[in-house]
Amino acid sequence: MSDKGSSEVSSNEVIKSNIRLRANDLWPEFAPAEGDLPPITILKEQASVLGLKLKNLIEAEVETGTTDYQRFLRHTLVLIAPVLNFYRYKLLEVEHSAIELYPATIKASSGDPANPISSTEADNQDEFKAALKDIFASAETKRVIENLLAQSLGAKASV
Amino acid sequence: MRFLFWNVKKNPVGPVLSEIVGKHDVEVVILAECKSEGEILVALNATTMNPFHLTDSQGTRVAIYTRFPSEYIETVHSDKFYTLRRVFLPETRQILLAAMHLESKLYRSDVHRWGKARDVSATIRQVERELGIFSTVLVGDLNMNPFDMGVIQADGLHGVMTRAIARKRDRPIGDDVFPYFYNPMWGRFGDTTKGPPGTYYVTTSSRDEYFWHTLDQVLIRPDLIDSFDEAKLEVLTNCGGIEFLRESGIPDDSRASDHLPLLFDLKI
Repeated sequence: MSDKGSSEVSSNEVIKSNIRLRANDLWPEFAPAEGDLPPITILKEQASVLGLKLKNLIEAEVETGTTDYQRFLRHTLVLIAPVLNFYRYKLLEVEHSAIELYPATIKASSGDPANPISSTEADNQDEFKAALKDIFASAETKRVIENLLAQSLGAKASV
Repeated sequence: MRFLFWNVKKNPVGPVLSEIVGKHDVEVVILAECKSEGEILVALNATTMNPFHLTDSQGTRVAIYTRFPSEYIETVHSDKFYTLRRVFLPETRQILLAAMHLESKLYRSDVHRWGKARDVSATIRQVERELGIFSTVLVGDLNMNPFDMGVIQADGLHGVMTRAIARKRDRPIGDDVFPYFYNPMWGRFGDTTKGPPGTYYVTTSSRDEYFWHTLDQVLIRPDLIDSFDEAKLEVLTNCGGIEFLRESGIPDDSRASDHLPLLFDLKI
């Protein structure tokens, strides 16, 4: 009984303290920036589309981190083959300033030993989507996904 | 949330499973003796716009497929025979799912198998305490009947036959306290209960032969009893025109499996 009473008192004190804080609010109101879709939103949407398209035999995931003393955000689009013991393959990386959505730099494996990494810069969401479409349709991406698919269908689970 | 458990005997049951999950709106499929996880995934997702995801088996011998993304199901413990998963979907109550395929009587003594049931039980209790989650559902091919020692013993799975007993939550024995599971499969034996006489049939030359066994079971912790809809617990004998039993009334392992599928529902 006494525990419940003290927890109610403490909860009331927190609420009162928060009301006092809001009364001294110097900040304006905020809303998410409008305009171009952020790269992370587009990447996550494409990750979901890939799963639907390939019946989740191959799934994709977006990992986000920071780089260069937090100046840039780095999003990595990773392919996952659940049936192949959740094998993960890094398909591409996108970097952009942490406080700007674009320009965004997209780096992907080209499949060309002489020039293994291709790099493209996108100034807006349309250019970003066009660059992604090119990478998704590339011979290297198709080769990787089709090989993972073939192995996923052939893999036997250990029972 | 509707769950399906089935020991599929390494058979290519993809098309049958696809029928079952479609007809019964299943969200979680748990399989034992699943030979090709990829082929099953393709079959489950053949005609749906809400595809299943294969979750990471972590070396255990049950495969779990979910309609929801893998980020909402976390493995908290796994070994070869069982896996404990925390399921935490947005705006639903989180639960602990214990899925298992324990060892067969054909290869292990009773003492060995009862010991394993005690190990499983101890780990579940430990994980429940650590996570503070006591809404646990245990499902699988236990390779034991509901009346077998490993299932009924207090330090085993402690599965009891009535809700009323299970609602007492636990039972002290000496210095220890053992929580109950409610085991509704006590109500699925012989000809006078709902559904087939069991989930598995075997005949041997032994003097003590039950013929029908209810090896495939779902057990519910007291915290989940009100979420468990008894009427929706089914041992399936057919789906989409496919019979899982032969004309003689025993499981048809050439068409489906030597075990029957178990369907149940939790409102979480």
